Amino acid sequence: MSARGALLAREITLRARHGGWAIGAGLFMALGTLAPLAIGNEAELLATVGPGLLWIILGLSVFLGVEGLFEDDLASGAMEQFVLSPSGLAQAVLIKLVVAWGFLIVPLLIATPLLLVGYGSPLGGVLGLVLASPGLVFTAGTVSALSSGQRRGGPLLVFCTLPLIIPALVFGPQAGGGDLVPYLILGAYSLQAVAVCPFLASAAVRLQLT
Amino acid sequence: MAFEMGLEVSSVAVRRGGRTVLAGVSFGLLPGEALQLRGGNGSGKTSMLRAAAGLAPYEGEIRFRRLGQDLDPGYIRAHEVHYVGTESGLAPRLTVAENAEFLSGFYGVTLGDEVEQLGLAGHLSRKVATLSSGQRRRLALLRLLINPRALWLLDEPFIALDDDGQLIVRTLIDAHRDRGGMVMVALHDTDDLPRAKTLTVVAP
Repeated sequence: MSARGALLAREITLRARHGGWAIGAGLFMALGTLAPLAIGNEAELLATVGPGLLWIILGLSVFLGVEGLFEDDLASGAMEQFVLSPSGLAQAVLIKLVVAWGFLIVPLLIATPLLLVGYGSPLGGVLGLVLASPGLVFTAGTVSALSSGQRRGGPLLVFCTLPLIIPALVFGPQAGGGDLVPYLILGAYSLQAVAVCPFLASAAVRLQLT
Repeated sequence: MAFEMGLEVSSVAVRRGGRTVLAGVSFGLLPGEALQLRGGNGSGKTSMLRAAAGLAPYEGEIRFRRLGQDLDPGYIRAHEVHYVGTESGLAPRLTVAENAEFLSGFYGVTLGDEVEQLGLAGHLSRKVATLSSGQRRRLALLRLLINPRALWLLDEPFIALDDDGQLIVRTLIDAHRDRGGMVMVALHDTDDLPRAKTLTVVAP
């Protein structure tokens, strides 16, 4: 097995056992299901506000899902070993982010169409979620790396990440109409995050180590 | 496998949080040599090890040399340096077997009886989090066994180990030195490494 394969298998096992992804997915489904109770059962209102509400809940779920993503490996000294390896720290961080994304998003891809149908909103929102989700997870994961080991790291994560996910919050709810622009912007948002965040997160981890 | 790499450390200083924790440290190591770093708590032993591993920023020079040539420190640290700190570097949520399997894949080697050599054959299915600190330290040595590297940086390697565990560490170090490997060890005053140079570090 290659170093990359070993890291991937290790991370998948760790994420499966950690359970943070289940809390994020559970919050998304619970709030998404309960929200109509507070909004009311007026169909037109639900169809209008539903997508926006889902994107806010999605943001919260991502925060919960990536909180402490790097804590265990920093505390156990594993990150030091990744630094002292031919494959390098950035690859280990990239794999952690990709696996975190997979564990968070797969359950949401099942839940989102059901919730959108329930709200009477266009199903195109699912494609918007697919396009924006790497950007959301990689951005929040990077802030999670920065806030690792800090007291009250959770609130820090939320407040530091919120401004960075505004593009997804603005254009995400617009996805689902006939307009192509929101999809393009959400895709671009994710592309830049995937290109930049692994290096930023790995620099943040290095900072924690020193 | 015989190692031929040497190490030269000149006037190394480490600052942490705006405070100098290590200053003016110089020494050299040739293939097969060991250095024990001694000093009280906070004297900078761990900082020296971390600086050599590239895990702590430092001033001064740390040069890796082979046959009179300077080597690329980034490459050497990724391929020829093992650092075993006070933390094990293992995943606590994985079992002993899973950690061992990960390490063998990570370093691209096939596992033999190394886990048995470390006295952990009876604990393969236990999660690392449930091991005693001595057992965790034993398992942390696995990377030294399966992935030969020229320079070992060991931080208090005897702590928490019973007599058998300490014997394993001493045997590993001796075998490594016989192959031309270098070892730098931070030690408490109660421990000793025979045939090793001693450098006492004092907090500046």
